[in-house]
Amino acid sequence: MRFGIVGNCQSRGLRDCLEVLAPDHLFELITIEPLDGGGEATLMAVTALANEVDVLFAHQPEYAVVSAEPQQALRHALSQVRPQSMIAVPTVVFGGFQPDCCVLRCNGRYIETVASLCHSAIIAGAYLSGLPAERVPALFNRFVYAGLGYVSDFVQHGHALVDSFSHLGFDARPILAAGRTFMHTPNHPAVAALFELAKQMLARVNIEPRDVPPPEDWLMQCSLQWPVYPGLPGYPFGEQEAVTPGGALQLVLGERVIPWAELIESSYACYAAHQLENADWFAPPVERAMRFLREHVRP
Amino acid sequence: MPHPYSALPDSAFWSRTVGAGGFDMNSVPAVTDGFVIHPEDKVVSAGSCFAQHLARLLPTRGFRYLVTETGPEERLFGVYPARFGNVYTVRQLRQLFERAYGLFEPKDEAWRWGEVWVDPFRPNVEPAGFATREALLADRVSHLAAVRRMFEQCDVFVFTLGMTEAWVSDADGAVFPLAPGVHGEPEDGATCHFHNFSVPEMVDDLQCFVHRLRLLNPSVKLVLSVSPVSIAATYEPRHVLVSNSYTKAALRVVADMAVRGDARASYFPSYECAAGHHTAGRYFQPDMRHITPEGVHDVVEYFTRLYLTADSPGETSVLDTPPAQTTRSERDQWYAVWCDEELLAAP
Repeated sequence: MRFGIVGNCQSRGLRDCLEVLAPDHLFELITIEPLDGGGEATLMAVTALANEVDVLFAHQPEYAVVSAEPQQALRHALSQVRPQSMIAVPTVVFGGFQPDCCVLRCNGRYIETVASLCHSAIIAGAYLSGLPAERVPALFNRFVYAGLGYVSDFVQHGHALVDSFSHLGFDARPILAAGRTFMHTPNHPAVAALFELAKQMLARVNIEPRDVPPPEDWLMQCSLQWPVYPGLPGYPFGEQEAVTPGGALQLVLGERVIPWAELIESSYACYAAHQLENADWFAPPVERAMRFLREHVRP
Repeated sequence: MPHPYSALPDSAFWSRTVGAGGFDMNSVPAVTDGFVIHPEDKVVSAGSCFAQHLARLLPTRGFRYLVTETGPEERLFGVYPARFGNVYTVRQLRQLFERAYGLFEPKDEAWRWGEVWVDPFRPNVEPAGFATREALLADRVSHLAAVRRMFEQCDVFVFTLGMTEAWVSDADGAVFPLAPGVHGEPEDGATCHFHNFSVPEMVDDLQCFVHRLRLLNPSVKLVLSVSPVSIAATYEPRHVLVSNSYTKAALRVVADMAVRGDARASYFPSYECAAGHHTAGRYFQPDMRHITPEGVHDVVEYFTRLYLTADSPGETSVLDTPPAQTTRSERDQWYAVWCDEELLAAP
């Protein structure tokens, strides 16, 4: 059979998984994020692919592209596909392992640090609380995590993931039950999660998946890896914790390792450049961290 | 209306207990409203010098006493779960927590004591002092990590309230267990002032501490007591005996206010046990300040009888589940940003 896969950045990993699970079938991929740049050609390619394949797997438009206009265009294009040959697949978003990782909109656009669009709510909250950067590493501790709901909200994140899957007829419980960290960042799943989803996608089209190991983790090679903090669910080293809070944390971006101190420095520079304290910004996790730190931390 | 006192037990009446000959605190039945300590519970303690007795003797009575910072005894490791020394005031306890979790970084880092350095927040823990300032600061880092482990891993936190008088930094309100000049002093001439904490101040400090501890460790149980050891000196312009009365009365009120209505907190009457009228002073050493070994023994026996149960813990008590802080819209925000396209442009 011939399949099309249309969706966001996760669709590349899904295609890789499908190919190893069902090598006798053909899987063609269109990653549609370029639509945000006004990709008329991409849209036409989606329409053409949809008409050529036996089944089209597609992420929902609202989770595939950012802006409303291309979302509508994609929705229109997908509506032309024969209904019986299109299967909507869920996007894996799960913040339970990295609840401190968030995005920050400032004066109408997302701002960037050395971690690209990702921010630490604690770092941003500390900046907005007027704390000097030298005080920030010490704030990465279990008391602050507990106060921000980082531990207790894990279950809620799990429910949200299960709901988002079941809404489209899929089951996220095997992913959660695997007992290992399955996200690089809250919106970038490890290949193990996509592998499970790919198996369920094949089951929907009555194809028996082969008993093979997952393919190479493409997102891990090119995406940021946000650490799981000591004390949070998914932390791989049990109760062990560095003597210096924040001292052992680091980001990984491809082959580059970014020390936590560099993230703090980069974040403070970013916020100062945007004058975050006076700007119109939006990020609920940052708001929460700022309130908590202002209540508990003495400047 | 029937006489409201007629159905009360003997323990409610002075004449039938304390006023009767031969009364012994150990004969008072345990009334702890179901508050128990299981042998598996990890118990820690802090407080004034009387708390050292609990730290030393509880492990010998079947309690599982948690020590998170170990080292040679001669350097005062093992006196408490971590090497924080005596914690005399509630504010000191609150600030210990704050310093451990990065909530407070006092300006006074180290004091000079002759040729060596002492930690102003635990001036006696290193008998010979620290040779260098760097050694002191490095030791503090590992010490505060041990303090965090203590707060995070304990099942029962026992705190003995000891003092209301303290010395407070003029710079930032940091509280020191000893006045500058007693055992070290700031090299830069930083100044302190004397402060005698009021009941409202101490209640606020204790409530703040307990709130934070429960945020971190929701199931932790709390035992509060008041040290029966009299204060050594007062800086108030009055007799030490008068100040001692204030101290004990104020601390007793603070403890009472803290445990009322809290099913996971209990007041342990170590003060009443060792310094109550019924003892007629027999538990005091000749200095009329320190408690005799017999007194310590009886207090610890009483503590054991009150709280230690052979029953297994069974089901962990169900605690209130905190409401989720992360909203659906926050999760959905991730759908709006996706990836850096440059990052994902890799083949």
